[in-house]
Amino acid sequence: MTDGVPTWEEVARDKGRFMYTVAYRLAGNDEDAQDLVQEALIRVKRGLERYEPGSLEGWLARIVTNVFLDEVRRRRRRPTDALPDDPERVLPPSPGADEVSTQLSDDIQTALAALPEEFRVPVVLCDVADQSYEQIAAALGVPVGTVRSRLHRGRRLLRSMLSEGVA
Amino acid sequence: MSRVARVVLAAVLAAVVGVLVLPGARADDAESVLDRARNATVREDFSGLVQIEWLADGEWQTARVPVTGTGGTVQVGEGVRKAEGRGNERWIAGVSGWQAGWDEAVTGNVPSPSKHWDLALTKGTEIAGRPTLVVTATDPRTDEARLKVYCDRDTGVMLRREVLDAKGRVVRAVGFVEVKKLGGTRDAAPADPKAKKSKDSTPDRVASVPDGFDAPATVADRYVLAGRYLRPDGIVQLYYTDGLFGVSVFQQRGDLDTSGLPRGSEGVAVGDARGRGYEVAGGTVLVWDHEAMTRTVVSDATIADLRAFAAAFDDRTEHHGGIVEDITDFVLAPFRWN
Amino acid sequence: MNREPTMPGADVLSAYLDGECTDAERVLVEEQLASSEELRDELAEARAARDAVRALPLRDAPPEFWARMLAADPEPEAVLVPAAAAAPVDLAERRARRSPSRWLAAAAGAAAAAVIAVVVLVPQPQSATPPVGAFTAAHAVRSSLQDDAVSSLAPLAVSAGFRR
Repeated sequence: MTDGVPTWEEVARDKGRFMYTVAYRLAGNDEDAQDLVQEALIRVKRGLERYEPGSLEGWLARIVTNVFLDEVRRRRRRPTDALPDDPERVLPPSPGADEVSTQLSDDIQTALAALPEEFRVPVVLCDVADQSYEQIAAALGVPVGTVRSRLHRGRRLLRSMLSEGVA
Repeated sequence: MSRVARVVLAAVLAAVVGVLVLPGARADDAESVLDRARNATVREDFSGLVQIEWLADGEWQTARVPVTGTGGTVQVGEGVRKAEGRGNERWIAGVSGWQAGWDEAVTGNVPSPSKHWDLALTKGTEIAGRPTLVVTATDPRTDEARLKVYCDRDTGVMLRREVLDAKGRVVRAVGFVEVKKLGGTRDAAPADPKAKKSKDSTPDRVASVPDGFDAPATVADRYVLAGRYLRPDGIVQLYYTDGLFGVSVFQQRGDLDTSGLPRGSEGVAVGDARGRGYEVAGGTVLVWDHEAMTRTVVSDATIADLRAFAAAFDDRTEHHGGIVEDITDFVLAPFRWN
Repeated sequence: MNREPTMPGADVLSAYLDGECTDAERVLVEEQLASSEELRDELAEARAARDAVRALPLRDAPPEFWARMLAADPEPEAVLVPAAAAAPVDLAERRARRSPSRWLAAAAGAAAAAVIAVVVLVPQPQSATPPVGAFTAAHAVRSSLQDDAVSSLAPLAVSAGFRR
């Protein structure tokens, strides 16, 4: 590391697990998470020259999020894959009894993946990446007040999903 | 003397003692009660059940631990998790058996609690069926009670310690819920736990901390440095006390990497740093970094108190004009240690 | 699904949970919590969801993923050395202080060796993860020597309560 700026190798080694975790919680599955991290690492490599030492995890979380949102927007442009951007949208239909997972961690992960991105991203950035509201606001380009309300609604939605056993 | 006469005499003496201990009794009586309680569990044999209660995220958590004292040896826990203390030695049992936790002498010069606290001694509520005296420590700056220590009237053993927040609400307590034996005949201490007691596995007392680390003699003009140690993993460990609350400080080189921390922490601002705080059975923990040094403090004081301690510690250790601070530390240090 | 609309102004509850509201807001929230069961319920729900997500473990990529990532970068990153470089650090000591990573050993040995051979490393602070469980135990031990041993040692006999 020079002057607080890590090398690409150091980022991959020391923060790889962190980046993959954030990507996985955003994307909901391993295949997409791997694609996300791969693309993010390319952007990290390019961005290291301009990186100002500060919160490394904040910077990396922002890059992973941007890659994720770029992919979401790209998928939305394909009509067959368009997801309605309706915050009140109900979650996926309840799975059959035999599909209900008994592992709590699976339940929460499924619920998280079922959240609309608008809410999932602030929840992941806050509770998985440990970012402050200001950092999340900067990452998403929205005011802090918007972060607050999306985070709160996201948590409420998660809670309803978990209590209903939908996940 | 006949048995009846003995009983009557005991009752009279108890009444006399009760009369002497009035609300608003002098602080030095309170201080002597605290002093007596400090090692009463080494002087007296006892056996019972202790409960730890603490507020975590607005919800009460509890845990119960069987405890015994035999011939000066204190033992807590059973089964896989146990700990033991005798003299200056401490032992901790885990899955892989006993390990030495401590084997250094400790300075007896603890600051007087009445220096920064207003102490009052009164009759306390019964704890685990035992009548008590309670020392209430009030912060003169806010006039709020922050600590209550209930001691057995008979033996002086501390039966309950309650920590109160700045609004006077109990947020943490450790105390007996059952007393099977307290005082009376003493038994011989049990045998030493069989563990490899190598110097390498316990912290070593050091005369000065390595370059780059900080160990101010006082923090926030109230906590006094009572020990400096170097752990086998290279981490610097300090112990501060204001006479009532002890604070351990751990220092490691490097910026704080939160990705490896356990979940369940709250974000806590310490100056410009974004630290993380925990409330667990063993106390309140605050982690943050300052000038490329990761710091952790542990105490049974509240998170607000720890935050103030942390900010004061950072202030004290700002690396500008270091020489002046070193001299000030030297002059103000109330006692020396080797 | 709970179709009831979120109470107006309830967004501040999440900010309250995360320590992200102002002191004035905190006072207001606590006042309102004291008198409103609905608000208390909503706070409990938000907290439950927050805790559930926070309890999720770190996720590891499949083992060959990182090997692929590093292999895809055949040219090791040359660290720019500033003109006034400090003295080289003891590389073995520096390596020893870092926690080992299994895939690094497996896949990146050659790349790492190349990096180290090419550059002069400037001593820089690494990052530290405090072992908070061990610290809590160490505090229990030390404070038991200064104050009542029973209350100080008792927490060592219970699970520390840290969650991964």
